[in-house]
Amino acid sequence: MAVFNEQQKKEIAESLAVVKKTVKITCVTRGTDCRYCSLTKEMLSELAVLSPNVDINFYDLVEDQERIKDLKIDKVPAVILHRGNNSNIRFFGVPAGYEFQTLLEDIIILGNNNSPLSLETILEINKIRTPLHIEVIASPDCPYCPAVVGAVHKFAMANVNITSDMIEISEFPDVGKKYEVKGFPHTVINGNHSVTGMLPELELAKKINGFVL
Amino acid sequence: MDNRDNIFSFEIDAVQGFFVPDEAVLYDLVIAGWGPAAVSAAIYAARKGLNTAIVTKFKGGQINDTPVVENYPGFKSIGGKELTLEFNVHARQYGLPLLTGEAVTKIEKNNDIFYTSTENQRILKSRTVIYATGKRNRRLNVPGEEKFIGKGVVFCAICDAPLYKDKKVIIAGGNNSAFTVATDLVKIAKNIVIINIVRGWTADSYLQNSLKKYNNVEMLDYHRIESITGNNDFKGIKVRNLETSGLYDIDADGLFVEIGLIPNSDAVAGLVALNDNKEIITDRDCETSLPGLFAAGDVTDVTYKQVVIAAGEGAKAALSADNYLKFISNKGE
Repeated sequence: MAVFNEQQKKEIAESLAVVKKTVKITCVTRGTDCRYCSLTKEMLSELAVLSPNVDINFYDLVEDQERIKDLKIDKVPAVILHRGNNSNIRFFGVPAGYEFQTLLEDIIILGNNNSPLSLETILEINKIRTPLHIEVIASPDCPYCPAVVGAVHKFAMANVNITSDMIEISEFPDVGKKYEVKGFPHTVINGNHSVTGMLPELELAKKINGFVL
Repeated sequence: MDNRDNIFSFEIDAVQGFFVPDEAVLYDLVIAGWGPAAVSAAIYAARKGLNTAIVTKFKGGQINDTPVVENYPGFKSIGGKELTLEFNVHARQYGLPLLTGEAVTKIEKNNDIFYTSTENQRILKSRTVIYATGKRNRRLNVPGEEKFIGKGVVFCAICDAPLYKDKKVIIAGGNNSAFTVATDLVKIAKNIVIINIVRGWTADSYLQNSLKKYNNVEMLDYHRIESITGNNDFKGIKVRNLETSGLYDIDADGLFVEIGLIPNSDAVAGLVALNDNKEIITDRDCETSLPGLFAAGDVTDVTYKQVVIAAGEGAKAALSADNYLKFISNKGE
């Protein structure tokens, strides 16, 4: 059974029609013990058909471990969007529901090489000169989560030192326990600082810099 | 936690989110907000051919936090999230530039031009503005609340309720929102305590009755939460029985605050007339005290805060903005 219905396919194709450059995506799944891996593969396979500029490669975490070792994937399903040689824009868990919007938006931004961040935010985020890991723990029903996931993905597009992950809590409850998540979206910086709730991109960028600079 | 029923709902409006408004353009209209009033205003403005830009903190407004809407024509019963998606899909066809993730912080008017500033320090220029930013949750304003927001104090039940499975939770509020949250939580939480500051519950009787079959619900009428307890971690609350003045502790894992809403009118305070509840005073055409600035929906003093009324008011505001633009255009000729 198809993941997208005909109307959704039409809308996705219309959305992706503005993508001008090829956007490379890597999808890493596992053959067993992964409830949403096959769904993620099917969804992305259907998505790739809807745009000539979306190029998706599929790998198995176990069988292809040598080929994907540089990606340092520790959870599946993983969806990684590439910008040149960088692989710092990532989704862990199927990017459906509210997060599907973020995936489409990421593709469109990368495919046009044009950041929608405000100038002030870009200046703020480019103060980061050392590797920074941002994890946004999101819940499927949280309408505020995509804004934060989208913001930190844009940070990663603007600054290669930043790796930004969306982690879907229902698929990775251990991550929620590890970071003692009590509200969504829960943003973790370098594994030891956290921000709960939705902040505007500039305020979030300043908050992150306050932790690490 | 494994709630994947909505896994096949895909919000497909990235294009709209991508084409951000251009700060160099003088728009006919800037719409602040993206709830029912703003969406309706955008549809009407687009159909009138107004060059329109939208800025909003997030898409959907209060209906995003509403489990079910059963009184919007055309939908016998629809989830708030799903209705938001329907609104987005409808409005998207007009391809209006939309800025999400940042609220309006200030609006100024100089020489007939409105300057709308946002949290990310963008400034949009326009000849008219429709202000439809809705309301936000009222806070308790008690010691400890700020410290534990997102760490035990919850304002988005639909987001965070799954984290309180098999836990003890307190719900502050005696209104429909509080009881709607309670009816959801009662199925997953171990115990629920509902606390009402005023004497007598104001929730609809059918909502109150729906909780009667559960034996894990305690209802404390005419009690006031005095503070949130806990040092590093949320521990519970201090509550006063207003009948006896007795003060005591209730330990719990979380506190859901549902004590009503306040209008998001801060960005126009001082610019347009507000009533005592800080709602924007509008006339029947959605005009405010400042020509060219229109307001619609729950941020205004319109009676009856309903999705369908907000949508109607938004449409009216857009038509009024269109008339205003024609008027100033004719005046200039």
